[in-house]
Order: sequence, then structure tokens, then C-alpha cells
Amino acid sequence: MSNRNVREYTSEKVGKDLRRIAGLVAGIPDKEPPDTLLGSVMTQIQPRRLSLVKRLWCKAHTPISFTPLRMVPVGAAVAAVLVLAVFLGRAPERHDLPFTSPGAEKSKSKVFFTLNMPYASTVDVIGSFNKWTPSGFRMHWDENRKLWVLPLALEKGRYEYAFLVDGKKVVPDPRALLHQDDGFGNQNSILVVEGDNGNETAI
Amino acid sequence: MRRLSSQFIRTWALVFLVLAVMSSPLFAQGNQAVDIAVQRAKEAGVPEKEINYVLVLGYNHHLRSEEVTALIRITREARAENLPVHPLISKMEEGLAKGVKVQVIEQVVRQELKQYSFVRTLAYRAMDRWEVPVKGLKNSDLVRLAKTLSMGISEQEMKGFFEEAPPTSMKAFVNAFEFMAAMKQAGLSSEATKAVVFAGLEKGYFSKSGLNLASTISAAKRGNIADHEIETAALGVILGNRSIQETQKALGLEPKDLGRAPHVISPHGEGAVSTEGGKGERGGAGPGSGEGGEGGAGGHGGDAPSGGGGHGGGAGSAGGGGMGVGHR
Repeated sequence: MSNRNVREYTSEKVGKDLRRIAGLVAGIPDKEPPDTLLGSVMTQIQPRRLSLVKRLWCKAHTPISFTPLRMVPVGAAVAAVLVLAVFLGRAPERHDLPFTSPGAEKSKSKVFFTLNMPYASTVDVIGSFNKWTPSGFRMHWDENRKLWVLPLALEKGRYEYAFLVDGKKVVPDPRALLHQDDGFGNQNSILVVEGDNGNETAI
Repeated sequence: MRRLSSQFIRTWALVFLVLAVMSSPLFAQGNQAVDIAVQRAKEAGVPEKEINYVLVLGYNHHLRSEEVTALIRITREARAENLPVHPLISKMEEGLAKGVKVQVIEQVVRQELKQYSFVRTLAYRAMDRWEVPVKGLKNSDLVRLAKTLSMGISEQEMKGFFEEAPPTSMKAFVNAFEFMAAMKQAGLSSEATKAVVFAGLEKGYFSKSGLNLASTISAAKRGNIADHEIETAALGVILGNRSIQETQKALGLEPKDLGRAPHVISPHGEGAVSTEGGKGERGGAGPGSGEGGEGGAGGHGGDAPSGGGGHGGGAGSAGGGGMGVGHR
């Protein structure tokens, strides 16, 4: 069989097959799909609703995309609230204690507070010079002299003070010359530091 | 990213919390009350600095708005009567730091305010009698005088004293009153005290603090020396017949008897010196008194101008020893 003959044969066969297939297709009955088909398909492909926890969890794991310009008002609000929170949260400004200023050290007198109270666990000095707050004014126990001791540098002036024993008991200085009723059920001791001409008076 | 997300959630939770609290009616009402109190205080002339101080105190001590309002109201009342405000705020601060209830603080501060008013009335009358302009009454003197009422001096005693005392400056008067309070606390009889104080006023002794003399008298009382002896000795100092250290010697007082606390060392490196302008009280006990702490008088003495006797205290402290902290 020559090549030409082969081509003619193939072409004729393909033509026959196509005609047969066209006849079969034309013979298929024209049926409508059932009415429930669409609903059932949509139900199958509908996404399932997650629980609240899972949704939050997914949300938390989803990177947030945003348009910077749209976020400006939100950012400003957040910043304002944060500033407010920082402002409210930070320790309020307290007046500087007079003896904490290094520049003024030269004009200050050294005052040695002492207390003979061996049974105390802790002793702090509180007074008008530290706004009655014990923080940073803990006395140390001098084993040699058997005394609680705290040296402070104070400007000249008149001060009231007391000792805070074991963090709760307010005790006046038993060796101070002058005491004053504090009105709250305790006694304060009086200290006068006079700076004129180097004169000092501890009452 | 997970951390960022949770931070984001937390930040927004905080935002909502703050907004919820700030928008609550109670918060708004409280703030409004404080606002009104602040406004009235400002109108009465209370300095803004003082008002702010009270607000900060309120915040520091977690006071309720009605408590803050009450405290601000007191400052307004003080200002309205032209009485010092700052010492009252200091009293509030003291009470709050000592954990006292605001209602009690309010009572105490109001009592103090009454004392200021009482003392001012007496002082004005006396100054009028002494023909001293009433403008000469400083707030600091007024407050110091009022505080002696918490040192054992009664209002009646103060009134009598103001009426009988010889004309003097208010500063001398204040020093005399503190001296008198110290004498009372030391246990000296009122007759002896009056004699010494009146003599001091007449001789101008109280132009400076008389507390070193008071310390000597107090030590003499502790040593069970009779009141009339003490009175004679004190009058000797006031009249200029004797120095304080001579008087101490005459009364048989040792340095250890005179030690009082706290011990003060002047910025000039000298021992704490007398304000009496005396002739050099003992001041040398500091360096050598060592561990016993019996060098109590180490820094008390000294002639003010020379500071000659005063080195003991400073040296004592450097040596870790006699800082004038002798204990009994």
C-alpha cells in the first residue's frame, strides 16, 4: 500500500467515526437537572462557621493588612490613649528632696540620726525632710556602738522627724530635746539646723 | 507575629477599659466635684502649685474624689482667712504618709488652722501693744508659735505670756516660746521657766535660738538638780555672767550628760556649735570617744565665730566613733 492510499483510507475512516458519534449524540434524550441539585451543591461547598474561640484564634494568627493613611485616625487615638496611660501610670512628680541635689552639698550640715533600739528588725527615719516616706532612709545597725545609725545631709531649717520601727511603729527620738504632738496619736521630734555663721542646733 | 497580635488585643482592651471608666457617671461626677473645688480654691487665691500638690497627694495615696475635695476645701478656707496654706498641706502629707484616715487628717488640719487663727489674734494684739507693725508677723513665726501649742503649752498659758511679756521682736518671742516648751518638757517648774524666759526676753537673749541653754537645763533636770539651782545657773548665762560651759561645769554636768540627738556637723567641717555665742564649750570628745558613743557632747560646744571647740564631732564621725551619739 502506497502512502497515498494509506492517507485516503484514514481520512475515510475518521469521517465515518465522526458521523457515527454525531448520530449517537443526537440520539441522547434531553433531560433537565433536578431542582435540588443547586442547593445540595451549594451546601456542600459552603464554608463551616467556626466557634468563637477558634475564630478569635484564627484572627490572632492572621497578619493584619492595612492602608497606612486609613489608619492615621486610629493610630492617633491609640497614641493618645497610650500617652494618657503612660501619664497616669508613671509616678507623679515629687519635689526633689533638698539633700539629693549634689550642687548644694557644700551648704548642708551632716546630721547623724541614732536610735538605741536593739530589738528592732528595721528602723527608718521619716520626717518633714523626706516627706515622711521611709524609702531610702533605712538606718543601719552599728554593731560596735549597738545603735541604729543614719547620716543625712540637710539644709538649714527646722524639721520634724520620727523613727519608723519595723515598718509600722512611729517612735520619737528619745534623745531629742523637744517633741511635738503630731495630732495623729504620735510624737514627732524637732530638729533645728541653723546655717548662719556655721551655727547648728540640734534640739 | 503572635506576640504582636496579643499585644494589639491587650492594647485595645486597655483602651476600652480606660474609656469605659472615664465615661462612667461616677467618674465624671467625682471629677466634677474636684474640678469645682479646684476652681473655688483658685478663685480664693490658693496658689496653683499648692492645689496641684494636694491633687498629687490624692493621686499618690489613692484618695477618693470627695476626700481630695475635702482637702482642697481646707486650703481654700485657710487662704480666705489669709492664713498660711503650705504648712497645712505638709500636715496632710504627713498624715497620709503615716496612713491616717482622711477624715482624721481633716480634723487635725482644721484644728491647726484654728491654732493659727488664735495665735495670730494674740500676736496682733501684742504687736499693737508693742507698737510693732502687724506686717512684721511672718508666716513662719506664726506657724512656729502655733506649733508650741502641740508641745505642751496651753492656749491659756500662751495668752497670759503674750499679755505679760516685755516688748520684743516676734522672732525673739518665737525663740522664747520654743525655749519655754523645751523647759516644760524637761520638767522645770513653771515659775523657774517664767523667770528665765522673761529675763531672756528683757536681755535680748532670744534673738538667737536658746536651745543650747535649754539642752543644758534639760541635762541638769535629768541629773536631779534642784529647780532653783538650775534657775540661778540659767540666769547667770542670760545675764552674761557665765558661759554655758562654765554653767555646765558649775552644775556638775559631764559631756556624756549633754549628748543629745541627732548630732549635727556644720558644712564647714566643724563640730556642731553653740548658738549661744559662748566661749567654747567642750567639743573635743569626738575623735577619741570611740565605740561607746559616750562622746555625746563632742560637737555641741564651740564658740560660734571661731568654731574652736567644734572639731570633735566631725573627727568623731570620720573615725566611726564618738559622733555625739552616746546612749544611756
